Amino acid sequence: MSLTLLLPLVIFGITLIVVIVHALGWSSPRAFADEKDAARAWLREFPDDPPQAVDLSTDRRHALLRLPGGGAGIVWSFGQDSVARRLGPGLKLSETETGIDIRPADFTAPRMSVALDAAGATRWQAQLAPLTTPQTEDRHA
Amino acid sequence: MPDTIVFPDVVKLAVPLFIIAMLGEIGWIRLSGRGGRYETRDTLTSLLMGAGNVATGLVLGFVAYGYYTFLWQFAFFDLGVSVLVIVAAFLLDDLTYYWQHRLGHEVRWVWASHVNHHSSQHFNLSTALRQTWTGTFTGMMLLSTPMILLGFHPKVILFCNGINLVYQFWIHTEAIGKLPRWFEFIFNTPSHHRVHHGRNARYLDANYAGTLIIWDRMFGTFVPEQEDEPVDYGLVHNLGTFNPLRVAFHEWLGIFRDIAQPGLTLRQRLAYMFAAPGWSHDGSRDTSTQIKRKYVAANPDAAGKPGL
Repeated sequence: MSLTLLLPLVIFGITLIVVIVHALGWSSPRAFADEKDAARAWLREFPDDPPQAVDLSTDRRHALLRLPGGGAGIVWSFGQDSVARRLGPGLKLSETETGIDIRPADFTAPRMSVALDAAGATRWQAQLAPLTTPQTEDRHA
Repeated sequence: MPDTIVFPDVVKLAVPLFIIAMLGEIGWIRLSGRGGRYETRDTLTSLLMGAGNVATGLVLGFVAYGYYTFLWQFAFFDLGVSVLVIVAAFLLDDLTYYWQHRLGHEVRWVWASHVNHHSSQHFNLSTALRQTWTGTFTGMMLLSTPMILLGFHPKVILFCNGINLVYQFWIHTEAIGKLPRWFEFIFNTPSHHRVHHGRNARYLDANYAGTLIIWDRMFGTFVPEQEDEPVDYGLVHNLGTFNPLRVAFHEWLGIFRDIAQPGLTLRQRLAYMFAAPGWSHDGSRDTSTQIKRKYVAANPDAAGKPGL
């Protein structure tokens, strides 16, 4: 098959399939039913780290977790599924009109836009604040 | 073998069939309400990865083909072209594929290329097209060396590669349950391949077959799909991006970041490149073997069951 035939065929095929999938309503993102649902999604990736507390965003698409030992994790809806990450130093946080943006130093999860009301934004920022500046080792300790 | 013989590029010829089959699968899911899931951005990413794979093949395909043709001048025999030779080549190429695929899961350098194929949390025909852009860099073409030296012409091997790849398209589906026992015993099937795409502890590092599942049965990597444990598709730690560039290159970047850490020995740096995915010098990550061990420790009743 020549490239002049293959290229239009591939472009047509991709466009057709994606448009049909979207038209069928299969673009709707998942929302967690409640805190337990978000915790289950977390445990799916980190079965050894049961969360001690779960704080859902207003649209129930993100949840901030308090982990044993004081660590933090985040689980969020990703298409119809979910993704989870432990959060470490080097986060960038910024306020938005609808909540906050989190930018971890993670090539595979570069940005999360979290919908939060004012009280929620304050809680999340307070929990994440220690992670927003690089931790330094005390070499004399 | 005469140089004038031309084999069809079966993968490119199959593109219309790929499109029709995906439309059929989407229609079946919509009408029946079962048989899998599609999601718009996931599907787009898979299809763009497939298109990118074809594009990188056009740009970098000369590397593998150049190696094969260079090697051909040193072949001990010229087996020519016949039905028997093509059947023998297909069987040996499928065996070669098994080991290439197994290395793709057990050696991080090769996994860096293959991981994108497993990066969808869906399992449908579009997932089959979520192919690598960086296969050339793994050096896996070297595994075909014995076949060429034995006298199988590079064109015959590439033809068999293509047939194998096209075969593997239809097994990426949840719309087909289990097939007759004799077929499931010999061939790779949707059921066997669902297991291969599972992130469940018991399903990790299983069913590497291309066309024939007998290789997994022979080499001890076969795990049957369990009715009491649905397959959870994707990676142990799933990607949080649909961006094809991030999907294609993230593990390579991870390797380079790991080996660039200060204070590591040369052995540790090499292990970050060539040990099993999940290996770490400080034990902060888990390999498949460690994940299975932890799972059995937490679920003692599962000990000794398939895949554990």
